Amino acid sequence: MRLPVRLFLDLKSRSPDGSGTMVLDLEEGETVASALRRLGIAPDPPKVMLLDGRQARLDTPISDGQELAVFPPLDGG
Amino acid sequence: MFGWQDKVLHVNLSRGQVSSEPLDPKMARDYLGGRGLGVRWLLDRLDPTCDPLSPENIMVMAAGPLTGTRAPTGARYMITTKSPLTGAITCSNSGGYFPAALMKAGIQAVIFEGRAPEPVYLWIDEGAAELRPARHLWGGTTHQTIEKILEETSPAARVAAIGPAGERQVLFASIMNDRDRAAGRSGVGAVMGSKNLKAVAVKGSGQVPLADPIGFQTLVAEILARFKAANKGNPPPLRTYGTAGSLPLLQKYGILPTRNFQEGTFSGWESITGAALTERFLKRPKSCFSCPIGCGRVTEITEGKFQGKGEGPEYESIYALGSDCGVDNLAAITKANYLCNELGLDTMTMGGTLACAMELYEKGILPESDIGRPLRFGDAEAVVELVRQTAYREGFGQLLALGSARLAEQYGRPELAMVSKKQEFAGYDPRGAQGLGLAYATSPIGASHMRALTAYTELFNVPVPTDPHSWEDKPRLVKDWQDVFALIDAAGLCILFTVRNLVTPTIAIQPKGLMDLINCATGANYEIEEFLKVGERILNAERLFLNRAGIDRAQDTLPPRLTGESMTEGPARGKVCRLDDMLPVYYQVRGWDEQGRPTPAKLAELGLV
Repeated sequence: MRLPVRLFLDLKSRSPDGSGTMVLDLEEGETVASALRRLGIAPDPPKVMLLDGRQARLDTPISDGQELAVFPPLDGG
Repeated sequence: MFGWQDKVLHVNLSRGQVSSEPLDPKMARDYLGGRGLGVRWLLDRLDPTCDPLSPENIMVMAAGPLTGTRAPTGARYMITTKSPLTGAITCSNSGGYFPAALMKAGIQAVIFEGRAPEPVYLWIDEGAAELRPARHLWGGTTHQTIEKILEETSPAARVAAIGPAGERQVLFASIMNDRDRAAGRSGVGAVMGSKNLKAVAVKGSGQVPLADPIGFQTLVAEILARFKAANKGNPPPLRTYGTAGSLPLLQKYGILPTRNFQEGTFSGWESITGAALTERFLKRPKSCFSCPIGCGRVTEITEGKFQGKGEGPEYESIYALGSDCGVDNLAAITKANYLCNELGLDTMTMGGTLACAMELYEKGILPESDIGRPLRFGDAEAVVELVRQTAYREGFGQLLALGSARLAEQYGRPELAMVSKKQEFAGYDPRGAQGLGLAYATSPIGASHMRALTAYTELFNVPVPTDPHSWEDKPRLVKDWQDVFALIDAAGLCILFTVRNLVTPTIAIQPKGLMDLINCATGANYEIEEFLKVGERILNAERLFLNRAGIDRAQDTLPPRLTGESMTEGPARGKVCRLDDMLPVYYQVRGWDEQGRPTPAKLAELGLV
């Protein structure tokens, strides 16, 4: 399945063209952790990850048609 | 005393007298500092039903025991008074270098009362204080005022001042210190203006006495080492992108307030992010005293019609003057932010009020003839021009100067003001972050994200993630964060550093790292139960002030848009804020009755009777 990915801030550099926007080819049943591995993004420090705008964890399975957004640690204010 | 400075200045502006009194050690232990000392003095010395802009109101500037120390982000102070915007207590927080100078001058707090017959400023030189004439400063911007006072006193002085908006008692006027740091919320600048107090200047070169200086130094070194390790030696995102680094996350959650909270996603979001600000206008990041982060933005716009330079904008200003007004022009947002800083206005209420006016105009309720121009969402030039008119109360600025609650009321549509207790929201739509809705509705100062930023757990996963759409777990979460935020504010530290670095990463939120610093500084030897009780005491003391001012459950509300109109698109589609479900549980968790009043047993437990 194809997973659209959007990487933000310093993580943008992990996409091939540096834009932060890319598409991953994943096998059925793969999780957020495996998507991060394919992107070369270390799980530590913990990232903020959203699948279709909902919080995702490393072990959250990815379904066809979803979009993954990944952010470095963020603060509010 | 250690940690605390034992001198409190008492300034009677009506009589032109400055005296000092010692800080009561028991009060210091029970209320810690800043916001805690402020509410205790307001309860003791002020009629909660008074007119906030009358000489009867008092205004407290108070530092915490860690302000002016080398504790990371030990830069903050609190201004506590009765707010002319909300009619409730307010405590507006700021950093920079002024608060540390106050402590280094040996002063924990300054209490202002009365009204000066002529404009004055207070000059504190290493603890010796005097009132000086300020007629020649009246009318100046915050920047002009600060520059002139530095010339008149000492280049090493630090200054907090009001601008034209505070002089004209705009209900959301700010107090600016060190040029661009703002005690922005709830109209503290209007109170200062009503007292004919143009500025406070302080030079302090002493040290805050510490109970265990070596232990303190060791602890600070450990905290900073952990901070660096957590960031893998890289600058934290807050330094690189500022607080608006989180704007894309809020867009992706679908809770970026847009067009007066009519939507939670903004089509122009990519133009107004922290990354865009860094790329286009950032000259350098800037830190407050003793801060290892540096989220401040020194910026400059070198071309186009919005040229200028200054500091900011931060996230809340970008949401309020940007997406909430439908504006995607980052130069205009930045220019409007500069004007708010120079003229002395709260960017959040300013933006929220403009957004409300835009909706009233687009719905045909507010006629163009009343404004003097069209006012559609997205009109960047109107935003910049109306900021200026508001500060000077010119034309339509007369109405904008009252904030969105009174503006919407004037046109018979109070439900279109996005406020709680007449104060505008922060940049998180609570339909997609339930805890924030409860935090807005129960914040003692009216809507604020800085009384319990549940966004940390609901959106940023710090210290542990919670589902932003769940509501059953939020009453406890909000209560815990409120008490911990009260401690952080009272200690004199910055929320942005403390939540991530000095709070135990468990669901039972415990500020143990903060307590260890306080114990080394003061020698108070708090245990965690007593320490948490201090935070709870501050919250309940503030609630007591509100109750005595006639504010209870009837005012713990959100607009019907947020509780009754579902979000129409994005990840929070179909959601409303479940405030009516959360509020009764929150009161129970707090030990308050059904009307939101602390029970006699709770007051006795906290020593508030």
